[in-house]
Amino acid sequence: MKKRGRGVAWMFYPIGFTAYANPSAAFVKVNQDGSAVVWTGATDVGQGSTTALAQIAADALGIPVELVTMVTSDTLQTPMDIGSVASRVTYIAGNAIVRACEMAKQILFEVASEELGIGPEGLESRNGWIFVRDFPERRVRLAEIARKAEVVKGRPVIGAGSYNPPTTFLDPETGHGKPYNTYVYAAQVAEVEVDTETGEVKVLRIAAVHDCGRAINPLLVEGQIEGGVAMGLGYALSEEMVLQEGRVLNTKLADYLVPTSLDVPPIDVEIVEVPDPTGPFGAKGIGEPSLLPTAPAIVNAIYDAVGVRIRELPATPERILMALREKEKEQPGRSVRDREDGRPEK
Amino acid sequence: MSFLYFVPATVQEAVELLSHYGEDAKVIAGGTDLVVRIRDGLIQPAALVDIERIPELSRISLEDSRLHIGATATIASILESIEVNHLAPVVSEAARQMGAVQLRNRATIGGNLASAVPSADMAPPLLVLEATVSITGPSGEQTLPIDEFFTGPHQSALRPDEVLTSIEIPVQESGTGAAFVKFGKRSAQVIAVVNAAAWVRIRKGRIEEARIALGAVAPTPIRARGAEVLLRGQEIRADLLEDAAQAAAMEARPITDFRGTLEFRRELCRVLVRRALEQAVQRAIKREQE
Repeated sequence: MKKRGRGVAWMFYPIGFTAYANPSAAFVKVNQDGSAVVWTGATDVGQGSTTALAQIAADALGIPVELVTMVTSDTLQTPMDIGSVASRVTYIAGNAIVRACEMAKQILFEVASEELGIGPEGLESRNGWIFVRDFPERRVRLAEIARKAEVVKGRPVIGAGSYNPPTTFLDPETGHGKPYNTYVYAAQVAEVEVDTETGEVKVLRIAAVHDCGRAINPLLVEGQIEGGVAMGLGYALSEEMVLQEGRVLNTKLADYLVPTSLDVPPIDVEIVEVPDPTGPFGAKGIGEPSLLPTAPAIVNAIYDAVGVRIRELPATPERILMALREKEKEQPGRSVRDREDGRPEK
Repeated sequence: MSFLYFVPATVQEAVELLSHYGEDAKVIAGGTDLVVRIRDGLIQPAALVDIERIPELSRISLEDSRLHIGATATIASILESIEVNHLAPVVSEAARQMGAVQLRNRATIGGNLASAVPSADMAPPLLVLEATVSITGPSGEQTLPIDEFFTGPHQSALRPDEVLTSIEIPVQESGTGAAFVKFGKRSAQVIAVVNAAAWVRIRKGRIEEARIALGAVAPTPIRARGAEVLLRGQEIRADLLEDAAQAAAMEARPITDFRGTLEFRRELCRVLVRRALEQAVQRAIKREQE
């Protein structure tokens, strides 16, 4: 018999660890044609951070994103970033890039203030123009100012910036303290169908609702969430290293079962944008958080479907079947499902 | 690793090469099993004889009321074949559940059988259809019932100087139905924990004859002949199919490995055989009414 159930799981996840140093630095140079080059140690391993960081640089300088060139993860040329880990890149490297851009922009605004007749603090830049905040029609091309700064004033438009959230350390005795700078939150709902004769679980649908601060690039955020859900699905149901006397028995991807495209269900993604005052343009992070609620949501859905609690992952068909047998032994004659809320059986 | 690589144009030429190199040669077609075994160092052939360029070996056709499937017909070409889909749909049903698209484009039906792995997905349907296999060696061609082909894990009736050339399936009469069921731990690209096929011929609510085959639960794919006897001549009832499934599970000789324990496999045998029987009976009834 096949039985359906739904499960929900929530999570919060820390962004920007502070228990030990967490630095990133960036350089930026604005060219005479109004384009810019950004040097960052942040490494894009496919998650799209180089794109998101270019968008951050473009908005911080006030130029179109297509005019930003990124030089990344080259230890000879770029300043250090400690790595694409801990879902920290957008938050930490993004903040470093914003600071580098602020420094370069200060040079631009100082030069532009002569032309626009107002102090640098009254200026803003957007889309290749520098303008008076209160009279936006009073404006000058950013490229013109960049050329003037370098050629006439001898002030190259460069900036350097770094970000390292205040290291707080933790109490060595208790482990207490403030270990992270900020947090993201999410909830996921899984709908499953359990085959009560084989223990097989088919995940029919996942809804994933995630806070990531400001979504710098919503499509990339959505991609991260979908990828995370697929990983969470493997964690929940099939990915298992089988050890025998310390040796791994399933040493190949033919035997260590990562979900295929046929195993991943439709995923409804919703992004909840709550800008964080400490993040670059309010951004936090999304990498790891996306996979955290998937397994507990699926395991809760299995419980809702057939009334057994699986406490060892992955929830393989064999483990579920054994749990169903145990339950039947405890309550002979009763069905595998014993709803606590008194609703009729599905 | 290094080996000689031959591409014979005829079966005759292939057999001559195999006779020359003997145990040191291996036949290769899609290579999806063989190349993995070479790379893992499990076998070290001195020569590979590639039979994929022998045109007649990939032919699928209807000949004298037998469906002929050439040994190098790919799983993908079997899926696309109207003849197979129409005359032996249970073979298509198994082909659809084998590997994934890329693998089905390379893997051949002959390779799936000649590798002689206990979990081969093409074996159970061919066992219940009582297919025969044609083998060509130095002394000519011979035909063998498929249940005499498998002799052990990675062992078959094929001698080192012989080539498996085709599989022949008798065309099914009215009132017959068959089904294949596979249990793997994900939806594609997975080796079966257990697979099973069932075939029945029914007349007026009675099972005249039944055949059951199981994979991945013994050193070779097997027929569950004891369970078949239980069904023969009986009126179709749900508890009869369950009893037969139970009997088939007791005929299985599974082992425990990382894909599943002995107990789990035996339980799967029961469930899969019952489901395969139920589907086979439904299909047979439908065909009887047509």
